[in-house]
Amino acid sequence: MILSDEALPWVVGGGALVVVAVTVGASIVYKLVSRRRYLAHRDSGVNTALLEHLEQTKKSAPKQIAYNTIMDSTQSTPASHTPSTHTPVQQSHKPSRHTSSNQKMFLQLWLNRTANEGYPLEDIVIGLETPDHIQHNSDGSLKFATLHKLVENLIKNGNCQHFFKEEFFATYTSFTTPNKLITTLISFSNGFHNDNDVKHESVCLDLIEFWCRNNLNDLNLCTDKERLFTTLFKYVNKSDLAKSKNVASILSTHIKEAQPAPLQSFMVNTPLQKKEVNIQDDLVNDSEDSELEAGPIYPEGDSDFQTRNEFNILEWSPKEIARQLTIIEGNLLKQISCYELCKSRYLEHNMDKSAPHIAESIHFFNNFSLWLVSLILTFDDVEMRAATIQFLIELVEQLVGFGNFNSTMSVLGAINNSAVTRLKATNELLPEESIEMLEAVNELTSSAKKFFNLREAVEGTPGCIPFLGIFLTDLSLIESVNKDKKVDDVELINWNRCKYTANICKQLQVCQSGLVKYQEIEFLQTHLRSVVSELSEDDLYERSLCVEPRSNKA
Amino acid sequence: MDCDVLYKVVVIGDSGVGKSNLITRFTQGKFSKDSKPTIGVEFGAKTIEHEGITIKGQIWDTAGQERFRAISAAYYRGANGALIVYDITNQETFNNLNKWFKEIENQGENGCLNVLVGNKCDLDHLRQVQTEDGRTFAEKHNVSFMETSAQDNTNVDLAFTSLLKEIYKNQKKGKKTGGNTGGDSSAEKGKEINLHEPVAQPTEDDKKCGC
Repeated sequence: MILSDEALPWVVGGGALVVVAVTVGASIVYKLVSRRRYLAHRDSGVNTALLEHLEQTKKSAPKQIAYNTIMDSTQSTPASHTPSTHTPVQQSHKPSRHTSSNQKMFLQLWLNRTANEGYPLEDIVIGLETPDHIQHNSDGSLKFATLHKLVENLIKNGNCQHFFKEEFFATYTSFTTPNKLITTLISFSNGFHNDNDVKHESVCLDLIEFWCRNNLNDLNLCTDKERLFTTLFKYVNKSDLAKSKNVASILSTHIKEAQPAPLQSFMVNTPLQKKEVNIQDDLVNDSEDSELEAGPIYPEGDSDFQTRNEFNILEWSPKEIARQLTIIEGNLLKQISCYELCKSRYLEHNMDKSAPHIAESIHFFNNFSLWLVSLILTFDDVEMRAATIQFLIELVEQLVGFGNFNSTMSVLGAINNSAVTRLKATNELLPEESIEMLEAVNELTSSAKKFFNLREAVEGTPGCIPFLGIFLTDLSLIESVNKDKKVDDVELINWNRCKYTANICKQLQVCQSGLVKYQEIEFLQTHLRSVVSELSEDDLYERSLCVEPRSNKA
Repeated sequence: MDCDVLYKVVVIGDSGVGKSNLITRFTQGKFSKDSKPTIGVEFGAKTIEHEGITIKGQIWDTAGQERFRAISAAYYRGANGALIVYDITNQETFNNLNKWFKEIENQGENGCLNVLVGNKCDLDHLRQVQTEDGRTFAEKHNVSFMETSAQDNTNVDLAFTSLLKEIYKNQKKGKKTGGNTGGDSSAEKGKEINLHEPVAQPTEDDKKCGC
């Protein structure tokens, strides 16, 4: 009999856990995991002693609390790890989903499993089987489901339902953790979850492999990485299936590669897929359009630029600057993972940690833009300022040609900065065609109607670099309008919301996979990436007032 | 023509203060379930009647882009009004108001009217910013103030409509004192009022918004 006097020192994690203090003869402290129904495992011995004892003696107060806690724990979500003190009457707001025999079986199984096999408790994730844990839209598609039901659907229908698998793995970090997902998959693999006790080892291994191939980097942003690796290795080592070796090798490779700098960003240069560029014909009338990938173009008559330390962007062809910016933006873009897009991580205060690559991209965006403002304002000479703005308008035109809409927005931000637009004398010197071009590009990038024009351009330009802000705005709207859980049942995950989010993730992934490879000029890469304005935004406005004072009403 | 005048209103403030929810509540926009949830419907527009004319408020929402500071000028361009929002349950969003006021002052249009809004007033038990503090701040900056709740629809309509009416009043006044032909009463009878800056073309809007 395992109900001895000794305390079972289980350390349990996760939300679905209740601590029950029971007095049975001598004091015994049990920590029960999960509130969920659990069907008897084939190999389980049956031990009904605990429940029977509780049932027999539930009239006595402390025991009743303990008993009720077990009942509670299977019916409603425990909000914390503290023992519940509900009575059955108090918590009857929801129809009971479970029979006491289920609970008995759950307990039997749990006691057996934990005692006999030494499983750490958190590795046993127990699921619900009742129909109200899944709800459908009117068209029959999934609307709400528990994590368990989602994983079950993933296992049974992941390969046949349209994009379910992709949607699931793109958004799972918005409703669970990598650790919980993997342990759930493992428990399905071991056949803990269904009436016939069918093991899903093969399909679960496939799914875990899929996860490893696509989502391993999620772990770089999680805290319990080590523990998950241990769990995974333990699992694959136990498996007899040949494909478990695949998982093991992916893991080993990842660990090896991740060692020096798991988040080494920016400089990573995996070979990019080469693709045809579809040019915005209406905006770029350059005869060299078809040779976007050609290059590089060096400053005229200046072959020793590399030996000099100073960097003068105006010496360079706008096209070459545009190309190098596109390389930088491409590298920034491809590092952004679905993880960073989920759960409003890009809005968090510690964004540098919660969504580091999005933060890096936005940082470069703002930094570069501000530097360009400072560049324009460097010149005391009005003609030089005008020439600089003209150069930037040409640069924008080229950026649109390269389909680099993120840099387009950034450079336009500089040209449209109030410290620049207020320079009347300067702007009057701009040639007509520059002004027309600026108007055209402003129209293209206008935020009117949720960036309608820009969205069309992005869709019509394979291999482009989209303006990241559109994705974030869409996501933020999706997340603020759709609750993550069902209002009256926090266990039910709003799958519709996940689908919307996944759609944005997919758009990002399409852009990432279509990036075009261009030839780098190291000199420009280094300098463009490290530019920084010495003046703050306020100082720049002051500087603007200085070069063209307010009284100057030309 | 679906409106007599069209005003652009931007909604600004820290992320998480509930800007999108305010807009959704005001425009009663239903969240579109198609693959492009934010376009296809003119999500942020609403028409109100005032003094016999139809005012269309085009509410611009760039929630999620708060950190793209470099493009804020483009966002503010042509804005007739701004709703500056903080969260009454989050002191920091109130502390950051100076930053937002400064930004709209620097980058926004001349004559852009502002309203200060303390959102989430349904969560009074979590309140960190007292109503009085909000009011004092608003008075200091000479803007009107109210507390709202997108959750239970408190003052949401009021916040937007009073701003739109105020803009209308201001424009009318500006027009009269601005030396335009005196007896231009047609402005009130269906002609487009001369806005500071043209907002998006109304003709295009007619096609898209379907209201």
